Amino acid sequence: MRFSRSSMAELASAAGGILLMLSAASLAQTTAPAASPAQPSGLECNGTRILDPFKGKLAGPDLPPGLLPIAAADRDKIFKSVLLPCQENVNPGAQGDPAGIEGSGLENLQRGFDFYSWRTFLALNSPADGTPIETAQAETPTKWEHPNNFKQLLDVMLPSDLQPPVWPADAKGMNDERDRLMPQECRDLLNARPDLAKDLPNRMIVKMIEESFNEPFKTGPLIDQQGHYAIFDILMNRQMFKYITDNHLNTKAGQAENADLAVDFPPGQNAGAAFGSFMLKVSWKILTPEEIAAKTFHMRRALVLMPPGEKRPCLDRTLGLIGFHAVHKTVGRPQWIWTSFEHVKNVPDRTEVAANKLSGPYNFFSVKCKADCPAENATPPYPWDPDPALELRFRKDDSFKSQIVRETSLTPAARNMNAVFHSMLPANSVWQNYMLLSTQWPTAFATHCTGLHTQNAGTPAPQTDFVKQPDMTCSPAPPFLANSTLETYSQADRKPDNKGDSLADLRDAPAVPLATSSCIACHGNAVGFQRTGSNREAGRPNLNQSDFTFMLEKAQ
Amino acid sequence: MGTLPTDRHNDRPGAAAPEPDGSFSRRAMLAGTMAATATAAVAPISGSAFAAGPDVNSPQDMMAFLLLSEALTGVDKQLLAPEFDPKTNDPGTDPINIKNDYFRWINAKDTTSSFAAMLTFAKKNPAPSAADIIASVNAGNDDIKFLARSIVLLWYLGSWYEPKDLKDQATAANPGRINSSEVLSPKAYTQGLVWQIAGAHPMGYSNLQFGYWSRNPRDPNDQPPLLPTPKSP
Amino acid sequence: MADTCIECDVAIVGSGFAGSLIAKELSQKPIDTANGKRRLNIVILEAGPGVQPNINGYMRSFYKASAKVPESPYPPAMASAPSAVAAGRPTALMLSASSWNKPDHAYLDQEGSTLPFKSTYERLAGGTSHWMGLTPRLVPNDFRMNERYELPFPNWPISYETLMPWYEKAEAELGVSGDVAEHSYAGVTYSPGYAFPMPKIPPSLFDQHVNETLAHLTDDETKSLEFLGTAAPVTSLTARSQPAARNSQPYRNRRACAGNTSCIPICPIQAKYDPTITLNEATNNGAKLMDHTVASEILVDANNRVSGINFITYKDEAGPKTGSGCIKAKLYIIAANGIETPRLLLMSKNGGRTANGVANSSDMVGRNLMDHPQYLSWGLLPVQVFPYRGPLVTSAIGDLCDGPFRARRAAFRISLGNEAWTATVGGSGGDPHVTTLDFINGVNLSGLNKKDSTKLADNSALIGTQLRDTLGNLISRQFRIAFAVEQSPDPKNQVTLSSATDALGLPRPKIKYDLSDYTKQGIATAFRLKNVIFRKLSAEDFTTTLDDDPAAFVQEIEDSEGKKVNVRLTYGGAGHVMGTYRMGTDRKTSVVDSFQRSHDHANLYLVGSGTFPTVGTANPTITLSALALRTADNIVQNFKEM
Repeated sequence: MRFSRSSMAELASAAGGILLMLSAASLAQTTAPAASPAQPSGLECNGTRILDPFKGKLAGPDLPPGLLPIAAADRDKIFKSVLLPCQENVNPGAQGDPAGIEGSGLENLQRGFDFYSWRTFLALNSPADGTPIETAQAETPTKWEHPNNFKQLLDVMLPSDLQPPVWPADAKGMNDERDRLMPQECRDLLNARPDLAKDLPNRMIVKMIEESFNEPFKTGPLIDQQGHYAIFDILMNRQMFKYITDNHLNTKAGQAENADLAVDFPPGQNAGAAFGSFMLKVSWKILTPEEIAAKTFHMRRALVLMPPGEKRPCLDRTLGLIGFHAVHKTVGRPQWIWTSFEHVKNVPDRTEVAANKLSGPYNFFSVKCKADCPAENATPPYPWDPDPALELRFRKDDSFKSQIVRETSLTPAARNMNAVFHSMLPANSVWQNYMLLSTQWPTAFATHCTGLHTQNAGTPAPQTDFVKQPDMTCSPAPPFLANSTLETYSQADRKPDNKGDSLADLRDAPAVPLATSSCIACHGNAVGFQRTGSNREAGRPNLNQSDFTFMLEKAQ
Repeated sequence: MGTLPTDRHNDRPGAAAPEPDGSFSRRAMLAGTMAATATAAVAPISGSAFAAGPDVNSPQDMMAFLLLSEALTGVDKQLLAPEFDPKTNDPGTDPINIKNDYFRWINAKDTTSSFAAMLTFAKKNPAPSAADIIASVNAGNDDIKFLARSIVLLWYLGSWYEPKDLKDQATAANPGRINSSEVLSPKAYTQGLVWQIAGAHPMGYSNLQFGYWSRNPRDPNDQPPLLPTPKSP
Repeated sequence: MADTCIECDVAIVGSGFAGSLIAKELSQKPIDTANGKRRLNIVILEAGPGVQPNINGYMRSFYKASAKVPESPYPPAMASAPSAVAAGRPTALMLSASSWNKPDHAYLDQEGSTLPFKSTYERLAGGTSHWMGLTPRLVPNDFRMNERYELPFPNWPISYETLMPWYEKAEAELGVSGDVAEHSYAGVTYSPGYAFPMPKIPPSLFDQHVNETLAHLTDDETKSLEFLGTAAPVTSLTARSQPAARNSQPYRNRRACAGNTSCIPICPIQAKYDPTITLNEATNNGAKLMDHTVASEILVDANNRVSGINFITYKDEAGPKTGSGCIKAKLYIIAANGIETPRLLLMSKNGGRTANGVANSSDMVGRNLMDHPQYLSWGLLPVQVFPYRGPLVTSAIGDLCDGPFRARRAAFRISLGNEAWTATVGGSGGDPHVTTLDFINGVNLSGLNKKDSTKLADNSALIGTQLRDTLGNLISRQFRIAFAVEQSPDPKNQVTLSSATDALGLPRPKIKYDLSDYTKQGIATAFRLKNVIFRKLSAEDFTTTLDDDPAAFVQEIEDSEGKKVNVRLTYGGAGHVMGTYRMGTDRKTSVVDSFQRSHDHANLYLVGSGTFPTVGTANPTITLSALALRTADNIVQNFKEM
């Protein structure tokens, strides 16, 4: 397996350390675990331009006839190479040759980004043990879940008594750090439950804070059909981590001292197969025994520490993946590329609800309720804070369950891209249950938007020029994007019934700038704690912007 | 906010810059694909003598609309319609595409065929210069003149002022406020140009970041912008 | 009805600043009560709609409003007739010459009022969220005008020093950005080592230009400012950053300001504090919000204790009433703002036993209505300052808010506006539409379309690049300066009940309002200072008073040569509704004590800026918030005995 210089995959052998991903069989071992035959592979990216080989227009409405099944050679080009793109490979013109040429440049670019998104999704969710995704099981740990590849935000923005965070290259070192940061309540649980202690190498540790159950800017928690909270987590990769620690951005004081820094996370690019910065936001559902048995979610066993409060139970739960944002900064898109996936059974579409063409059961919508259905897309009743006694059930009597409807349907292009990729996966793959919503990307990414002069393929670390008045949003396409589990309450409004007025679609478009969810528009507001002077002379950066991530404001 | 065209070679590392293909790349514009014609005796726009009404899906009509709008607003086509490809009427990579909204709106609101007449003029070959278009509008009848003003106001403010109300105000002995204007949509308001012309952004819609107001909007390091810095008197 | 009353510990009417802050304080931990330490059962009655899951609706209304007045994002719909709305409120559009004193058009019945009361407010969860966000404190002398300046104004029953720790608490709660050094004039002091929760908001280009230009006044200019009557000669005028509840950093999960320049009426990213933030914390702590619930009468029993509040519920904006009910509590807090609170008190007649209203033995309820009349001036600078960028106001010239002159005329605070002529030309929220339309349609409603200002023909109708360059040049040089003038208390300025009703059949507020000579002298002085400032800025002055302006008045002043001339001045509303149930130590002349507890009814508190006996020149929100927190603390300490 080729290790690119960007993957830093120098994992030591497991001798003396606890292997971080084990097959089910090795769980039974009580002696020192044997070294796994294949070293866990780090993440690497493919610097070769791979174009989408799908013939015909994917922008729909229907799949081009005869497109499926995808020819084996085409499929192999995607799946038998390194899956993760180092950067987007897009063009307003057609992709490969012979190609599917969409009706407009925008559609061609969107298609390129959506292709990129699926490759990214599959790459990140490929088994951490290096086996191909086609043979992955529902519970197979993924590369992004591997401590070598991504680290949770809370393990970086530590309180002062636990600073600084470290991210060693070797398995033992990583394990020691995980152990160091293990919450006392979870230690107590592990002491009381030897079965959990033995399973610990297989467990995700999720330490909850308010943002782990309350959507951004306190817009509200999301409650599933069993009356449990959905759980959110944020992770970063090594490139982001290194930039943060090198520049002392992991504490408030460090940020304040580094006032002059124009925060600029390293971008990915094809040249040199530079990996670039990745941040993830994921949403989980607490799975029932039936759901675990059905294997329709990618799932992980976890220890979940409840949010700060008088008591913080550490809970033994199995979590199912329901939402996945991958955000990748590339040399071509310094406003990052924003990918959103979710579970196919989260919620119905508004058109499906209106036509009563529901195909439940859904994770966040009841098809069974009648006159007593909760108000659609309403936030739960207060109080919102989880009660330690209820262990992540929202109410003692499970009386409330969110009733969520997706107001903006997937575009035909996204639907068709989903169909294509699903067709290339085994029919029984758990990844059949995940779909791309869309990819948001900045359309104006060249000189006059952020002043970036970095389109040199050869330059590994661009000098971002923030001197100009940056239009940090750079006209994102699509202009609005909301994941039903992560931006549940910031969707566009329900589309009003067309009153037969030919201009109604202009006047009454349901999405509202700045109010309706847009990844880039919102993240463009992110700043940290750098204190800058107010009247800088021309040519000097003046903005305590934090490069499209809210991570820096979590520093303590 | 209008976006500016991309350098195509961003998408193909190592590749040479593509040939201008007639779309609104900066290079193409600077090479003067829109030849400036001498202002010959220019006939006023008259409202008659063509068959079909303006069609938002016709590349020729859209191009004519952009030439017309550029002349009337004084704002470069590249900002009115970023990435527009006149050959295919491709909106390019502009996800906002406000020009389509405006075209449809004006077309629906104009009951005097003045819009069609203006587009016909702008479609002439060789293409008329901005000065030609302005001269022609000024020489036109009141329907034409005031529709032109409605069009400018639409681009500048995202609001529609009926040409009749404009005429009533302009010809009144004691002009009063026009209280009947209508904001097309939140999107149109946030695309309003007059604030950008003044170096700012529509109130309630900033894509900038904390502290920007403390600095001059036009940095001396800027390449020559398409909206010129207003000069002091 | 008494059988089915909702029962609770604390009933709060109104979910604005004061109501939400108190609700949060009382709900966040167990309180000592007569039956042990426990969480209080708190119910908040809100006349308008509740908190929305997102602001799509408000932002849509705002973006689509032709006149971007402060009320434009919020319900009820602006065009509705006030008699046809269940929970109506005044709007800027009701203040035109043809509507302000016509109860058919205007929510406030100002028929027969000498001058218009020009401030407005909201009635929905969060209260008047359309506020500017500025949080300057009152200065020490503001609390003791009587004692300090021998004026017939009441002293506050509380001093700046007593309120100081509560200011700090309020500033933490709202999240204030500021610089202690820049807000230490007129005797304002802080606890040792105190810093505002966040660093100050950086100044705009206009602020910077003003500071550069007014930093050094010549001796002649200083002499020409003697009319100000300051203690020391004025050798410079300094604009300093204003403390504001506007994030300059991430704060409590909220974003930092991105300069959307729409603080009034709404911040699209909630970088400006609004009370829904605190209200949500209160309801998260267990307080219950009843929206679409209009308190209609406060019930008083034979022991002069408040025994309940009747309310009316409705569903649609236009009504009708869908139900009614009552609420019984141990403690009642009315936080419905400076007009709606006296309205409710006066409406509560208890079958004639409280014919003059509840809590009104002093007859002061509804009296001493005060605003900060805003003297607005606007002009054109010779240089570009690029307005429409950043918060609406970032800096102010504050140190003229106190001085020996207060013995003779009202003080004022000067705010520099970053919104060009939006608040001035063509009424609130009218520009840049008026200026733009002028130059496209060849008219001159802004005053700007004339040869002397543009070097073009009068009433030019421009097009193309000339239009673009002209507007770009002119708009980038527009500015406004506002003088917020202290209004003196006058019992004849009064809120009573109108015979005009709303859609629930409740009597709307009736307003009698005028400006005293003391206040008018303040406005006139502002006018004179404005002239000096504009001259120093080499600004062309476009300030004007419309012929039909109902707020216009004529004032005799001395011009720069010492000659007495008459000038026609006017004022706008600051959005500050104050004074109508003032605090004091003497129950014969005041309604509440310094803890905002009614003198008449031991279990009734009346909170908000209605308790201010005098108003100083500072925006009232941080002061009313500090008082609310002090009230909450008082309640917590004494709840056992209530």
